[in-house]
Amino acid sequence: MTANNHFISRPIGLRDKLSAQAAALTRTIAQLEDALTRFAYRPVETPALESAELFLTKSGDEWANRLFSFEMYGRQIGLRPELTAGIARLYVENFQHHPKPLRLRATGPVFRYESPGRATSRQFPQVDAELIGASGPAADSEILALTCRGLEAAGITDYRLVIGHVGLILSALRGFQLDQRIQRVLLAQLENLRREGRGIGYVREQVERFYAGPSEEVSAEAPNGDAAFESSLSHILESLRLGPVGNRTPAEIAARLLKKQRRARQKPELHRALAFLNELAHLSGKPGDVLPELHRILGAHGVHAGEIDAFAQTLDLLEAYEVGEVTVEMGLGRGVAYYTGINFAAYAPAGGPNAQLASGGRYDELLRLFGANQETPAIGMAFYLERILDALETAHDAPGHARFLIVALDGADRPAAIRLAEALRAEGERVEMAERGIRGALGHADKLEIPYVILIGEDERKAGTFALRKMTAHEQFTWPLDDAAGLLEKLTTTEAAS
Amino acid sequence: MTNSDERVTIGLPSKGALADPTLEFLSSCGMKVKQPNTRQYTANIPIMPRVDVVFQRVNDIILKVVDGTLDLGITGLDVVAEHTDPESEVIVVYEDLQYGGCKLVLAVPEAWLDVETVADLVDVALDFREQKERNLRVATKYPNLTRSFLTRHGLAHFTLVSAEGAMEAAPAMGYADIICDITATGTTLRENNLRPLADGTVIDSQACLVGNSRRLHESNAVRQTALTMLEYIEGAVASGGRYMVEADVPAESAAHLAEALANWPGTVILPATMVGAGGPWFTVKAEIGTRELLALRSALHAQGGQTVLVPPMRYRFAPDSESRQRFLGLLKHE
Repeated sequence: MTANNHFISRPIGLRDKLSAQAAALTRTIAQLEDALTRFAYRPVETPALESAELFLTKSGDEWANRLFSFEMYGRQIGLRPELTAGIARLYVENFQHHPKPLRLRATGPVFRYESPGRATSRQFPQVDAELIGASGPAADSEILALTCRGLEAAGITDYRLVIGHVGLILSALRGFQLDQRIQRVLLAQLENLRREGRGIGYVREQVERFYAGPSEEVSAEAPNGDAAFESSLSHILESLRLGPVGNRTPAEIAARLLKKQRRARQKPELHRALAFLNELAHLSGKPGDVLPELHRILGAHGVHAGEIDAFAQTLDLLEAYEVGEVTVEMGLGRGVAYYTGINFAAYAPAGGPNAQLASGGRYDELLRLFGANQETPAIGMAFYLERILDALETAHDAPGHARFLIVALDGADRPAAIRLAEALRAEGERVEMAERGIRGALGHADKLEIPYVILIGEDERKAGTFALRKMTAHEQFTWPLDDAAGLLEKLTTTEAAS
Repeated sequence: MTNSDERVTIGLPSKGALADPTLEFLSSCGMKVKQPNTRQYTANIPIMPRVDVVFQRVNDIILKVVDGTLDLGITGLDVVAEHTDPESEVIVVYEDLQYGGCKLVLAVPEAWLDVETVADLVDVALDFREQKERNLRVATKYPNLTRSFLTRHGLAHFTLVSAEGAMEAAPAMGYADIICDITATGTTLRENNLRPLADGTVIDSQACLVGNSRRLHESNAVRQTALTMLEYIEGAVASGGRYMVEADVPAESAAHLAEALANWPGTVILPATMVGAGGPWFTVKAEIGTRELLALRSALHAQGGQTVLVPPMRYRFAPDSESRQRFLGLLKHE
C-alpha cells in the first residue's frame, strides 16, 4: 500500500486570490453593488446549495453537464451555477404578495464544472440584478443601462454592449407554421448559424434529425390529423400487447406516431424558416442601421413580429442613458433556451466572444415555472467578476501591512500594549501585535516594511509611556501611553516635514 | 524510488462477466495467476514475483487505481470512462484486451414504436415536460456517461434514477421510463421488452489494463511491471489468429520453391537433409493468418511436401511495439 503523504494541492480549475487580487475583488464588488443600489436594487442572499432540480428546471441543457451536484440521503443537491434561479425561488417563496416591480440584487460565488483545459475557473463570483414584475421598454432599457453603469463604476468604459432579441425571433418563427417544438429546436441553433465551421449546412443536418418520419415498418397511411384514425391506431397498439409501455399510454404513442408523420411533411416550411433564421443570424450593426434591415427581412419572408416596435423603443430609451458602444446582433444565441425577450452581453474590447463581462435577458416564463401564482414578467443580468478584473488589468494595491508593530517586552506589559493598539485602531490605523521578542519583531518589521515599532517594557509601563522607533530613520522617542491621537498628529507633521 | 524489493499491487475482477475471462486471458498470455486459496482475495503471479494480486469488483478497481491504492488493474473500459475524467491520475495502458466486449446503450420499451432515435427521445422528453410536467426518468448505473451523452444530444429534461441490478425491470415497474445499461448480446433487453436505440450507443467497451499515473512515474517497479505485462499481452494478442506453418518439401533448388510460394512473401526456405530420402530437400517456414491456411497447405502438398505442421502460436513479438511506444508517450506527456 502507498503511503499517502504527498501534499494536498488545490483542485484543478480553482484559483486562490492573494491579497492584491482579493482586495481588487472586494473593491469591484462594492463598486458594482453601489451602481445597482443607485437604481434602487435591494440586496438579498440565497444559499450556494439548492435542490439540483432548481437549476436544471431553469435551463437544463445549459447546466446539466456542468452542475456540481451530489446526493445526500436521497436528496439531489447542486452548487449554484448562477444566481438567477436562486433569486427566482426566493421571490416565489417570500415576495409574491409584495408590490411590484421588485428590484433585487445578490452577490456571491457560482460554480461550474468547465471541461478540463478551458481557461475559465470553476468557481467565480457574480453580482446579479433582477427586475421582477415589470415588462416593456422601460424595464428592458433600465437593465441594459445598469449593466453599463456597473461596468463604468468598476472602471471599464470601453465595453461593447451586444443586444439580441430571442422573443422577436420566436414570434417571427411562428409565421412558418412549424410546430412549437421545432421552433425551439431551430432557435437553439441560432449561434451555430453564424459560428465559423458550422453554418447553415450543419444546422440543417441537426434539425432534420427531428424530421425523420417513422420508419416503414411502423408507418401507416394516416389521413391528416384524423382523430378516428388516431384512436384506432391506439387500439391496435393496445391489442399488440408489446409489453409494459413505461409510463406512456398507447394513445400517447399513437398520437406521437402521427405527429412524426405530419412533421415529415413540414420539410418545405422548415427550409423556408431556416433560410429566414440564417439571414437574421448574420444581421448585426448599430441600432439605427439594424432596425430598418430587420423590417426588410421580416417582410421579405412574409412574417411578422409585434415585438419590433417595443424593441425600437427600448433602444431609443437606452440612448437617453448615454451608455457606451451598443451593437444589435440578432444572432446572439446566449440563453435562447429560457429567454423570452431581449438577451444581451457586454464584452471587453480585447476579449473574444467568450470574454463576457456581463450578460442577461428577459425571462417571462420562469417564475410561473417555479410556482408563481400568476404570470410574472422578469428581466435580469449578472456581472462576471473574474472577467471584469482581467479586463481592468491595472494592478490593484492591497491594503498594506501594518503601520505599527507593538512589542510587549514582558507578559506584564501586554495589557498596556493591547490598550494602545486598540486606541490606534480606533483612530483607523493598521496595528499588529508582535508575537516574538524585540529582535524577532525588528526583523519582522524590516521585512514587511512596517515603518513604526512601539516598545513597551517595565520602565515605560511604570512611567506611563512607550518608546517608538522609526525604522527608516533609526530614531527613537518616548510618548505618553494614553495619547494615541497626539502621536498620530506628531507623526503626520514630521512625515510632512521630511 | 528504485527499491528492489518494492511490491506492485494489481487489481483483478473478483466477480461478474470479467472475472473468469481475465484469469484465462492472463494465463493465455503466460502470466498465470496462482491463487493459494480460492476463498482468499489475494493471489500472485509466479512469473512476476514482486506483483501482489488483489481481487476486487470492477468499479472498485478503477476507483482504487484512481486514488493510488492499486498500482495497476484490469477492468472494463466502461467503468473507466464513468469514473475518470482527463484530470484523473489514470493511464489506460492497454485499451483493448480483446475480451469482455459489451456496450452501454439507451433502451426504450419495445412498445414505444415512435421512438427509434435519440432525436425521438429528445422530443418525447419535451412531451413529458409539457404533458406530464415531469422529467424523463432514466435508470442507470452510469450517471456520468449517461448525463454527458444525453446533454450532448440536446436532451435536457431528464432525471437519473440510480439502480443496482435488475435495471431492465425499471420501466415495467414504473420507477423509470427508459434505461441506460450494459448489454453484450441484447438478449436480456429483449426478454424484458426493451429495445436499444439505433444511435443510442453511449460507449463500446471491453476489458482494459489501467495504471495510476503518479505511481507509474514515481515507482520504477510499477513502470517495469506495466511494461512487462504490456509485452506479454501484446505478444499474445498479436499472435491471435496467426499461425506458424512448417513443412519439409523436395525441390530442384531454393529459387524454384520460392517461385512456387511467391504468394506468401516473408516465407523462409532452409536447405535440409531428409534421412533416407534422396534429392535436395528444404524446410519451409511461413507465418500466416487463418484465412490463408488452406491455400498454403495445398501449395505445399502440390510441391510434394510432407506433413504440414501448424503448432499453436503462443506469442508474436514485433521488433518494436506500438503500444509500448504509445504508453511511454502517455507517461511522458503526463
